[in-house]
Amino acid sequence: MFESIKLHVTLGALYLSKFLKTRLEYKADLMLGLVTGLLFQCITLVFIDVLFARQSLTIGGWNRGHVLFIYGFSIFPLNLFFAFFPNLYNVGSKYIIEGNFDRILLRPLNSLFQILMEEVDIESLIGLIIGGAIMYYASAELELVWSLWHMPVFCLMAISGMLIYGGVFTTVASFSFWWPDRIGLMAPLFNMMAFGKYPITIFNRFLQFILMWLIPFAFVAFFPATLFMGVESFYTHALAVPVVACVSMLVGMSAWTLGVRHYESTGS
Amino acid sequence: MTGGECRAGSTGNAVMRWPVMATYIEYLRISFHKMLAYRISYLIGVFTYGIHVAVYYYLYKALYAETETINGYKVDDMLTYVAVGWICKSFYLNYIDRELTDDVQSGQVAMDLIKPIDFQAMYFSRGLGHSAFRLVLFTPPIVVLTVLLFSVNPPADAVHAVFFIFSTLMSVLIYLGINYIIGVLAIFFLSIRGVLYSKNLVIELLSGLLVPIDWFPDWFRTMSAFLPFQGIAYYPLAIYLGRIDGVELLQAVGFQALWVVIMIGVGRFIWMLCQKRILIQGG
Repeated sequence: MFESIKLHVTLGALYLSKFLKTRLEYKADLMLGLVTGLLFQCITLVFIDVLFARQSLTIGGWNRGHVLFIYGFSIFPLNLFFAFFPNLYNVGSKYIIEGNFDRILLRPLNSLFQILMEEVDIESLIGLIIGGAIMYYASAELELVWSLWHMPVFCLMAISGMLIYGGVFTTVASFSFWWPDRIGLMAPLFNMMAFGKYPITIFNRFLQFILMWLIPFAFVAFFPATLFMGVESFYTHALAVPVVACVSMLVGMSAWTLGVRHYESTGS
Repeated sequence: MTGGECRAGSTGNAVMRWPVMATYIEYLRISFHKMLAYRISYLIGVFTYGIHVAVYYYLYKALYAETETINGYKVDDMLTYVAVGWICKSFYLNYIDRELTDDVQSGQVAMDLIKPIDFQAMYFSRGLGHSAFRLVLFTPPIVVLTVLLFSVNPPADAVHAVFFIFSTLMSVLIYLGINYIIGVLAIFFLSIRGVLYSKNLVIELLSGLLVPIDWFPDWFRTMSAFLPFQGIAYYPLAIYLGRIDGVELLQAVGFQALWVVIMIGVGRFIWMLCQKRILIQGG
């Protein structure tokens, strides 16, 4: 068990350094990726800014500062997910339909690990700068005081959020083992991430139920953000975030294992 | 195989009567049929638009909880704006930028270049094929879904309804023009999927789909007046709501038409420059 973990970590580092080298080969692409990454974050920022141009406006009791803070935080789990899980999007097409999964299965390593390591979208991490800046600005507006204990909690929450996304998307990617489809359910799920950027309380009960119990995107950014904003009524939800992350990853990995067992090569 | 024969036969007749157009109409037809092949993606696509409308619908609804009007828009206007805006997008959106870059990366473009056809007209025909498919089969279920789930007002009056339809057709052409230019420019990069995705999001903001252009600060509105984007979403929607009247109706549609011409011209010019680069790479 310990040996296996050590092997995966060593190989993970090698995969990453190989990936960085190839990425740096194409400098124009890298620059374009970085610029796009920054631009991407600014769209929602401008949107929120225009919506709340009249300072007094609120949505469901949340003012401009709250909404900006939640959005700023949401950038962290989202971009970590974009950076380390982008290859889940290719499972149906590149790996199953085009037969690359056979190559993966030949190696004595965890198949999900290999697929995740084959593509790392390191440029996405540039977005974190914008996320940090928005949170800094929003904190000032909300007069929040940060202390040292916030930092480890912040990291825990951001990584938990990434794992919630990771688990949900792994589950859906696993469906491709039964129903090979190029895009499948990924696209609507991808669009559902937009719900996570805003206070969950503004949506109707049906959507709230789905976002809490079925596709737990409410736990990715909204509940953790309320913890830092000091909204006591949601503390229990915020503390549940790491638990939700573990459950989400467990479901994802179980679905993946079942899927691999069901997998039949295209045979071409 | 039989499909191929049928196709050859049907164009054979048309070619004699209408030599050039028939080729492009054929591209349009094939593109339409390709869309028909992906049934699951189709159903999921309809559902996806429901998600888009829901996010912004509830956001605006919450924003209006304590106030009657914001920037001259009543709550009903704004909710209709959001719903109709996404319905329109389900019609005018196309992916010829991605098709173009895919064709270049897979080498398919070499086969297209040796054909005696106009490259831009071919991609426009394919894009119009997408739109035809969307108009007939994709947008109608989205209209039904949206009207059932959310409250949507009808157009201001008959004149505005007619202008709205005309204006939406223009937005298809503007979007095609932009996507063609982006597609040609993207040829020179390897991983452009992220860029093409982000481009669609940037257009959502600049076109006024997310927030009406007249909610933005003055500098942004001045900038918009010199860019094609507000012709994609804002003008058709402002017409639908009856916020644009009289001479301004003609001005709005004229603005769109002007940009269609400019985008086609710029697209041709950029392709002319890029074509040489591709030939060098291939040689």
